[in-house]
Amino acid sequence: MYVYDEHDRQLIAQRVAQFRRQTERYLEGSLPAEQFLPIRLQNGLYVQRLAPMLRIAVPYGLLNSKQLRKLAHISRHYDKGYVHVTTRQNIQFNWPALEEVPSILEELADVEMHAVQTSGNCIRNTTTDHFAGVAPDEVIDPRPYCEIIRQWSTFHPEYAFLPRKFKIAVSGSDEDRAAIRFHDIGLQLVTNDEGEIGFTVMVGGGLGRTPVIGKVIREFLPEHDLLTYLEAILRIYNLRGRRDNKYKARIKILVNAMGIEAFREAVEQTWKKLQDSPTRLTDKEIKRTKSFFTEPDYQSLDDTAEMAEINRLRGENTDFANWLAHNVHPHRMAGYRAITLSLKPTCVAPGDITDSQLETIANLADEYSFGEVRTTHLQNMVLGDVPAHKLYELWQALSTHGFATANVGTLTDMICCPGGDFCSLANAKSIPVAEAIQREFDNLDYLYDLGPLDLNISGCMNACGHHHVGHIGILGVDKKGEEFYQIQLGGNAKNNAALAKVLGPAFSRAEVTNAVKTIINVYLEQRQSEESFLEAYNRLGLAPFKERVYAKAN
Amino acid sequence: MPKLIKNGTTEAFHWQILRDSDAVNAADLSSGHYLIPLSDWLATTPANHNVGVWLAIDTQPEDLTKALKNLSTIAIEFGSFMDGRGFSLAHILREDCDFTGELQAAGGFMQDQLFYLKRCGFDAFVVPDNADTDSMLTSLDDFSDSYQAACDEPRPLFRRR
Repeated sequence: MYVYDEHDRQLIAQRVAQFRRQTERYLEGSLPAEQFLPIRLQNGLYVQRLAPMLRIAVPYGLLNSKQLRKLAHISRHYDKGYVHVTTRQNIQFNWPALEEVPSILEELADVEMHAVQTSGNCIRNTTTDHFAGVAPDEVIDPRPYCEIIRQWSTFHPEYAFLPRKFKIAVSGSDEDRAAIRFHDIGLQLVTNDEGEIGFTVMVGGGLGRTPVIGKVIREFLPEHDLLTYLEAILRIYNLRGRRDNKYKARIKILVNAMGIEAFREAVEQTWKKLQDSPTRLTDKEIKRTKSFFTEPDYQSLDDTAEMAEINRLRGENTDFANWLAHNVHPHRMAGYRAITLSLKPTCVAPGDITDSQLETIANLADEYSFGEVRTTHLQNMVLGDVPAHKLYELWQALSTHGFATANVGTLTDMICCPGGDFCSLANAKSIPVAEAIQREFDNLDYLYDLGPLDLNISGCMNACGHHHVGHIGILGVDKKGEEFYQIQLGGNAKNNAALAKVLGPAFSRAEVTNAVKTIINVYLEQRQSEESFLEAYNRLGLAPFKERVYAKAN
Repeated sequence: MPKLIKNGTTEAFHWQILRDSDAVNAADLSSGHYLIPLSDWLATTPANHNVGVWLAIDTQPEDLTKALKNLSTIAIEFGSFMDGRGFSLAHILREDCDFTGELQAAGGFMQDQLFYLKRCGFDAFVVPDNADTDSMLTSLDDFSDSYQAACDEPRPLFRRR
């Protein structure tokens, strides 16, 4: 994990001091509200429906146990004792007092954390695969490159007032677990025929009102050219992106308007001037950053031997067996596993977690996973490096504290935005819809029979709940002041990226669960052998689902 | 009368901004301080050293060329502080056009952008008469170092670490 040196510490300390002065000027009336707005947003502070909301950056989803304890402390002392894990791998506090935010940021700086650029029209937190560094299918560890991008984008003077927000994601594995095709810039780490490291660069992807799959702008960008090429893309976007309509201001609109060929040409021309500038990455810097992401102190283990006792217990205990099958993931080191802590038990808002749970996770991380934890864009947490022979005792501990719901990857492991309960942008509530669906599908054997299923819920078309890329997506809409829910089918955030298609007219909240049930029934009746929901949908199309859902509704 | 923050102090802003050709044609440019549109400056290239160029925020980057290199003064006028195009225009003037004269930020930028404006190559800032310039000078130095290369520091932090 990256460790601050005196430069990083000084920059973050100066940011806190700057924001403290700005907050004081705002509170005494010398800084107008309209000017304070972009300032507070770039420090993670929203003013929400019920209270301010503070979004803390978790760079590419990595946390250590000390940071978790600090987050627990802050939520207890400055907030109501719980936090929320977001779809950008960040952490949100829902009830801080505006005048206390500088002090919260100061506390965060003590543990090398901040809220820099977690909102606003600037470069946001870079996200990546939550199994980075441990996934068996990983080609190159993306985390050092994420950290290089974090530093380059932090307080970038030229790109702090872009036409709109700007999100970058990096993947270093065969399977895309970071939804890179749905980011303003998506970076896929690859090696060329000479064995050199580089990136396939995608641009102009995104969700929101106009969902678009990113397009390849460069097949192979050598790693040293990463920052200069990002500069070139951002320069073109900053100068040419639309500023007259915030709904048409994302880079995807510019790329579509210019066409990818013309956009590429403009970027390449600008890049020529930047390519050999001092911003070009050096071997020394790449090596320095990589030195923070070395292997923890793994033991040399024999996987079969480590798993022998675990496999015996698996046979004796169905709950444990279910958890092993769904919440435990392969690891590139023999004798180790990555574990997902499900933050999606029924009756808890997806991604919510209390102060004492944060402390429990910190203790478990220290005991079982070298003191590190990851947040996922699917709103769960991951212990990345658990010795396999400890799986049973870890499972028992997780069960006691409510993290062992064996639903990872199933329909009830849904992505869900805070929705109308918290967010002032929302058209409809999303948490009660998630809960109703979780209650309906509470039989684990039934869920397992349904196989892998991404169900994503957004409370408005800004799509924080990624409804466009859910196999089943649910979108809250407002119809004459009433909450309705549109259902979409067939989205896919992974390698074969696809956007979901709208099934038909929206449903009332009371009808949503039944509609989902009908869709599932159609799948169960029509699936062939081992076909997943998404595969069945891709074969059948929208029609059979539509026919049944609306036949019943009418 | 607006003020100009420059070199850590404040002075009177004694430039006249002429935003269109009619105003330029009506003025006697042989003496006094004027900022005129780029097209008018290119058409006349006035002999008076105190005639500089005024750039609107929607200036097309391809219009910025090395012809501007030896000008004494260029002003970029911001509309809203939310419109960040001026940051890139300034960077292009400094890095691509090799402009070394005075680069003024004018119009609707805000105090809390001063540090970033400075990094992008602005070295003079037009502020209202009643501005709290002491507070602004503090904002100009909000940070003592930066990660990225920019006009004030050509080497990114990683080359200095």
